[in-house]
Parts: sequence; C-alpha cells; structure tokens
Amino acid sequence: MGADGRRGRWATAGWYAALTALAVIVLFPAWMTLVRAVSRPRSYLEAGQPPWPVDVQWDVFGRAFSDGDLGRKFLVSGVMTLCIVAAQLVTSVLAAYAFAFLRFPFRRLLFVVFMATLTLPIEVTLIPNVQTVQSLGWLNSYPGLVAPFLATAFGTFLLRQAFLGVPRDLLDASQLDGFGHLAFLHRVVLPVTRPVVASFGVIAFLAAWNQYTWPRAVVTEGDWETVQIGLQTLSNAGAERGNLAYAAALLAAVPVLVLLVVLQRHLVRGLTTGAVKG
Amino acid sequence: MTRRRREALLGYALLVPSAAVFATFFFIPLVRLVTTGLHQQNRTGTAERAVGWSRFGEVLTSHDFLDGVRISATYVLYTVPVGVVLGVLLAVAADRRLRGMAVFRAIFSSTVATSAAVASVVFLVLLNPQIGYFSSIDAFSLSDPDTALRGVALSSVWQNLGLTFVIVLAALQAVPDEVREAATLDGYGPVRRLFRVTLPLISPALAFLAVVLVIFALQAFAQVDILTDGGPVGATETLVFKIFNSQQPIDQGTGAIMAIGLFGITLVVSLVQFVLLDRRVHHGR
Amino acid sequence: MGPADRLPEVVSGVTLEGVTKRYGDVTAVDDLSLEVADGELLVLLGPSGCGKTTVLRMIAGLEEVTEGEVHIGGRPVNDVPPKDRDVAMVFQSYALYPHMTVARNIESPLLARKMPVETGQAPRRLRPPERRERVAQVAASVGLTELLDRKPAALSGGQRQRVALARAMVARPAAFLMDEPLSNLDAQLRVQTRLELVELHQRLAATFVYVTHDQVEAMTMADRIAVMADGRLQQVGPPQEVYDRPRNLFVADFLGSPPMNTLPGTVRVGAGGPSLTVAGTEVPLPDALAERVPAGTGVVVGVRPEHLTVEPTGELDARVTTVESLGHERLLVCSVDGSRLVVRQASTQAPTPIDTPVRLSIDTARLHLFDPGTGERLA
Repeated sequence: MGADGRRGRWATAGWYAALTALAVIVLFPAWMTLVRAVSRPRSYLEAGQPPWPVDVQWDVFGRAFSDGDLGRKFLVSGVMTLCIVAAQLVTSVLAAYAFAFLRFPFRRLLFVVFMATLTLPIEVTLIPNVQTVQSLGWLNSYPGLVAPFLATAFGTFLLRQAFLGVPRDLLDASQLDGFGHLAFLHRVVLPVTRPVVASFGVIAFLAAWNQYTWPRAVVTEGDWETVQIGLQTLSNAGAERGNLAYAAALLAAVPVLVLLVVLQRHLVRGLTTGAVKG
Repeated sequence: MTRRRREALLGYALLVPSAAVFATFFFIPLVRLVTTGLHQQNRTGTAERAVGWSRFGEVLTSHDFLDGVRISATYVLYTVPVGVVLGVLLAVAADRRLRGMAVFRAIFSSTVATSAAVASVVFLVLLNPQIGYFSSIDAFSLSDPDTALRGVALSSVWQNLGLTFVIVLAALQAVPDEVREAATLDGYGPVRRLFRVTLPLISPALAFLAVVLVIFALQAFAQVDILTDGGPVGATETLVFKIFNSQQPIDQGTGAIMAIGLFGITLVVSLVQFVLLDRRVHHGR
Repeated sequence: MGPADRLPEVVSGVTLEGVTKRYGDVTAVDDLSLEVADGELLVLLGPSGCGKTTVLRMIAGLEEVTEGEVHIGGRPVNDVPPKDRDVAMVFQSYALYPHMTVARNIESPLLARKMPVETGQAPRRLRPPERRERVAQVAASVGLTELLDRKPAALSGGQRQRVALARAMVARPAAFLMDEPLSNLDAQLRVQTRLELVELHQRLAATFVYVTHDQVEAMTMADRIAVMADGRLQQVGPPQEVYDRPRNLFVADFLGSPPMNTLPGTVRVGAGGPSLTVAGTEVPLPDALAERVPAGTGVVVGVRPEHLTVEPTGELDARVTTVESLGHERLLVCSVDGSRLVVRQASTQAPTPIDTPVRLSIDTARLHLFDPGTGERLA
C-alpha cells in the first residue's frame, strides 16, 4: 500500500473522500426516514422539508407502540419467526442427516425432489395455499402464518453439505462406542457443525422476520398483523400518522441489526475455533 | 429385521417431516393450480364450472398477463444490472486496507437488515408524491405512470445494496494477492486490472448474484403494495401483485394460471441464466 | 487358498470362515478363511486395495459380510452390531471426536456399552466414578495424564495416536483391531511406537488384528503374518516362515527389502546330477529341490540378496552397475545375462568398484523355484 509519500497520501485522501461520499449516499434514505420520523409533520413541512430534523419529538417511537400497536405486532412477528426457525432447524437437521449418513433406496431421487421445491416460492403457490389455510380455519392465527415455512430445502441442502464434511470414521468410531444415530447426531455431528447450523439459523430468522407476501394474504384482522404488514397499514393511514410508519420502519429493522451484530462476533468465533482434524 | 432395512426405515422416517410440508404446501398446490385454472367459480365461491385447457392459452396471452410480464421484466432490468454494478462499485471501493475500513464496510452492508417493507417505507419518505423529499424529481415520480416503476425499483436497488456488497466483497477477498501482484508486475493499471483480471475471477459470484437478484425481482410485491398499490393506473402491477389480487373466488382461475405462468418464467429465466453465465464464466478466462 | 490354517490350541480369538465381501460386481474379499488365536498379534499384510481393511471392518461389524461367517470369542457375530462384539478399533485417521477433550474421547466407549463388572452379575453400564477411574488408569498407562483436558487439535500426531489407543483399551475388549495405526507418524516416531505397541500387546495379552502395507512392521511385530492380495489370502504363518518359504511369487516379492531376485530358469538332469540353468550358467541343484520338479521344467528362480555373495569362485558372471551404501551394509546392483540382481554385502568386506566384472556365488540350498504360469512355489 501507498508508501510514496505525497502521492500515497493524496490517493488515500481521495479514497476516504470517495468512501465517505458513498457512505452518505447509502445512509441517506435511512437518515431521512429518521428525520421524518422524529420531526413534527407540520413543523417539518413549514420549514420547507430540510434534510435534518425539525421540532424533534422522540416520543414518536413510544407512540408507534401505543397508537400503532407495534408491541402486539412485534409479538406476532416474534412468535411466528421463532416457530419457523425452530421448525426449520428440526426438519432440516433430520433430513440432512438422512441424506448425509444413511443409505436407503431412491436417496438421490428424493434429494432431487426436495431441491425441486426451491423452484416454487410462496408467491407462485399463493392461491391454493391460502385456500388450504382458509379451509383449516387458520386465517389470522399462528398456524396459518407458520405452516408453509415449517420445512425448507435450502436448509436441507446447506446442512447436508456440512454433515458430509464430518469424517465417516467418526460415525464408525461412534458405532463401535455403542452409540446409535440419534446419539451420534447430538453428541458429534451437531457440535462439530455448529457454525453452519448457526448461520442457517440466522438466515432462517431473517427470511421469516422479513416475510411479507404470505402474512399479507392470511391476515385480515389488525390484531394479527406482523411488523412488516403493519408497516403497510401504518403507511396507508394518512399524512398525520405518516411518521408513525417511519418510526415503525426503523424499529422493525432494529432486531435484525442487533442479531447481525451479535452473531457476527459469534460466527467469527465459531469459524476460527474447532479445527476438525483427526 | 436386517440392519440395512432398519437403516432405510430410519432414513425415510427422518424425511417425513420435511416431505409432509413439501407435499402439502409445494407439490399438491402446484397440481391444484392446474385444477383451479381449469375451473371458473362464481363471485362467492359457491359454484364452479369446468372450463377447458384453452383458458390457459387465453390467460397467458391476455393483455393483463402480458402487461404483468412486461412490468416484471422491466423491474428486473431496472434492478439487476444496476444492483450488480453498484455492489461491485462499493465492494471494490471497500476492498483495501485503510484505517477505519470496518466502519465503511458496516455501513455498506447495513441494508442487509432491511426487509422489502422497510425499504419501501423508507422510499416512501423520499418519493411520496405529496411530501416525499425527492418528489419533485420527475425521473422517479410515483404519480407518473411512465416513471412510477423506476421509483419502486429504486427501493429494491437500495435494499439489495447490502447483500450484493457482502457477496461481491467476499468474492473479491478470495482473489489471491499474488494474482493481483502478478497483474501489477505485468504492467496492468488499476482499471485494467479490475476489468481484465479481478472481475473475470469473481464472475462466478457475480453470476450467482445475478440469478438471486432476478428471482427477487420477479417476486416483487411488498414494494408495489406499499409504494403505489399497483398504480398509477396499473403501471406498477407486477405479476405477483396481479396474482395476489386474484384471490377472490371469481378471479382464482385466472390467478392460478398466471401463477403457473410466473413459475414457468422463473424456471426458464433461471435455467437460461445458469447456462449463459456458466458458459461465460468458463470460457471467458 | 485352502481351508483354514489351524493352530493346535485355538480356543477363542477371531475366526473367519469362507468370508466374502462383494460390492455389486466387485469382489473385495474372496472366500477368506483365517483363525486368529486368542492373544495372538496377527498382521494382515498386503498392498493398497487388497481387501485387508475390508476384512478388518467386517470383523468390527462396520461392513456386512456377503458370504461366510465371522466368529469372535467362539460365537458367531454376523448379525451382532459392532458395540456388542467386544472389539475395539484404532482407525488410521484416529477418528477422535474433535470437539471433546482427551478425557471425554477416552471415556466414550464406556458411556453406552455395558461392561462385565462383578463376577456372577450381568454386565452393566459403569457409573461416573468408575468411568473416571478407568480413564485415569488407561491414560496413565499410555502417558496421557497431563493431556486429559486438551482437545485433539492441540495434540501432536503421536499424542493423538495414543488417545486412539487409550480409547480402544478402556473398554477392555477381547480383540483390538488396528488399521494402519503407524502410517500417519513420521519415521522416527514410527519405530518407537512399533516397540510400544508390541510391549502393549504383551502386557494386555489380548488378541490384536493389525492391518498394514508395510512389511517391516509386519515382520517385526507379528506372531503370524497373513498376506493378502486381490481379496484373497496368499499365505499365513510366522514371519520367518513366510519369509523363508513364500508360497508364491507375490509373497516372495512382497516380503523382504530389497525384494527377492527373480530370474527365469530351467531344471535339467545332467551327468553330475540335477542342475538348474539360469542366467546362462548351469548351477548344481540340491536333491531336496530337484526331486520336486521334473527335469525340463521351466521355472522362475528366486534368490534373496543375502544369499548371493561376491566370490572369485562363484558360478555367475556379473557386472556391478550401482552400489548403494546403507552404512551397515551395501547393496550391489549387478547385471547378469541381461537381468538385474541385487546382492547384499557387509560393509566390512572390501568394496567392489563399479563397472567391473565379478563372480557371484549362490547359496543353492536357499533357492526358491516357482511355476512361471501360476507363480506357485514348486520347491
């Protein structure tokens, strides 16, 4: 890297300038959202809509919870997400174990069939699935929100890859030690592949938390709105309430940001320790 | 029971939970899309009559459907090339050892935390026809049928920045230093090095990214729902939006056929992309 | 290979009867019958792919037997799962659980298996204090006491190997199965560990079935060697016997370093008695060999490098092409009538310069004659 004195320093300064400009551009939309959320709408408009806050009212976040019933929405989203993540972990781990360690007829074919589901997003199968959920009386309920997402071929794929990395010898040694498959899974496979399982958990969490199309289809009562759907309702509610939507949008991103920051550290740790040799 | 048979039974048993979900919510619905498409219900869903296979042809060539295809395709064109280029831009800028780089990288990847709904509300702030910050900019106006889609696409571009940045940066960092040094020794300037050496080396990641972004774009719904509700005058009605709004019994037949159309398009596009980009990745050394 | 090679006092140990393993069209092990005596160290020796590891895995129960029967301790175990066979295995890769400490690794077999504890009572699972005690005991016997809290990644190759051994020992199995346990160690450590393993075998007085492709390991460690090639048993016997009287060319060539010299030859009966025409010379053939091979037969003659000597009165005309000096001895590579012969020479003897003609003397009592077609030993 630049050791050429003056030329190096100019180049470095140039890069910092460019990076800062890019950072500003990337952050600008979120910044404006914050500005509009905390500024009192009338005062802001009267001030000619500047790119900084006017007449700051931090209580907009509180009001999002009280007037916007954001607490209930967080609860619905939270329960739904946790159910989905738990279910996906279980179904994916079990399926991946079968594909990675067990032998049975049509194994390869079944794997292909499983992977084929990746071509069918919920957007395509929406109508029949809504019919199913409706006929089960699961509209506006946790089962309805969660049902199509209880298993995922992506998880099966990812975890199978990881499980295939566990040396076959360990299964043999484990069998000689007297352990069956279930014990092998929980004593050896899961601890050894923990980083990948954790990564999948994070991905599953993100996908479930950010879901929009499906909850939008199966929720018709305000009580059952998830955070994401709530954003649509709030943003529809006119200019005065508008900034509740903006506050809610920021709050909706918080759990995800927290998760990513916390798990960054954990993921890095998980990937550097645990050398799997011998 | 022999050990092999026991092992096979265990294998099947472990697959049952996933298989049950897949059968119920993926495969059977696929079949039901076809059967729904073959019937026409009344307004309240209390009666239905069979309609022929010709209905498929009618719907898939209808003005409504083709409009949806056009809009979705345009959406793809608006979001994917720009998305990849911006991702590369940010990643190349951030792929150097400077003090404080971690902060920049954190900022560039931050939109990973945004959902489609969040990104849409954020761009509502900027593009809302009445009070948006940039509502005066004609090129992205949400109230003009000709430009509304661009405004919606902008929210997707912003949302995708984080993901594209993370993926491209990872790919860049996987390029061995020696290769870059060799290029420099060969006399390549930074720009030429980027285009002749670095980009070709990360083209698999870029190809993967392109496929992912295309699929996201074809599934666009939340953005339309929040920013324009399909308007103005249906100018932003993507295929998924149309499908979503065909949930009334009387529309379900048409909606199901459109869903099958979307499925077909997604499959074909993904396949074509794989083949094309795969060939480019291998041939373009 | 014929029926099982029996030892006089076989009571238990491991027995294989007509064992065959097929994977689809491929036969990995073909009709193998072998008895490993109780307390014996038997080495399964052969090149890569000869089926020796497959045999080991079938004894362990990790592979199913296509045909034939396996007996351990006198009882048939074909349908018995690995954990109930009373065997322990040391894997080539050690197969240590990477996320567990050494102590937990060693303890592992004790957690799920039932052990006979008190006489007259049924075997049961050990309780934590009992397990801890056994682990400590075994760890001490292989010198791992200070390393009990470490994880495999923090150990050297030799230490990991000892952990694998300890894990095998802790269950006090009837038979120890070892799959090339020394192959991942560097040369010096290998020699040392070889001795330790033999000592361990003597100390434990248990049955060891040991797989290797290294004939030095086999020769130095085995009570008996079972040589395998292409899935079939070639010969079984004590090391010296297999070395001195190989049953076929394969065994003759595989054991001994440098390998046995082989040349084509013909048996004749001449005026002075039976003789062997080899390398363009006629060499008198001892009666013991001649009476087994009719005159006029073409044979493959085998003679080990240590049974050739450089002597002015020798029978063979040779030319030394290369000399390899090993410190304690020399290997002379000679050209004889177009063929290549290796001769062992003690360093105490006067060195022979290269490219000089010499005469080699053959210890005719130590000749081996093989059938050129089948490779079987004739005499």
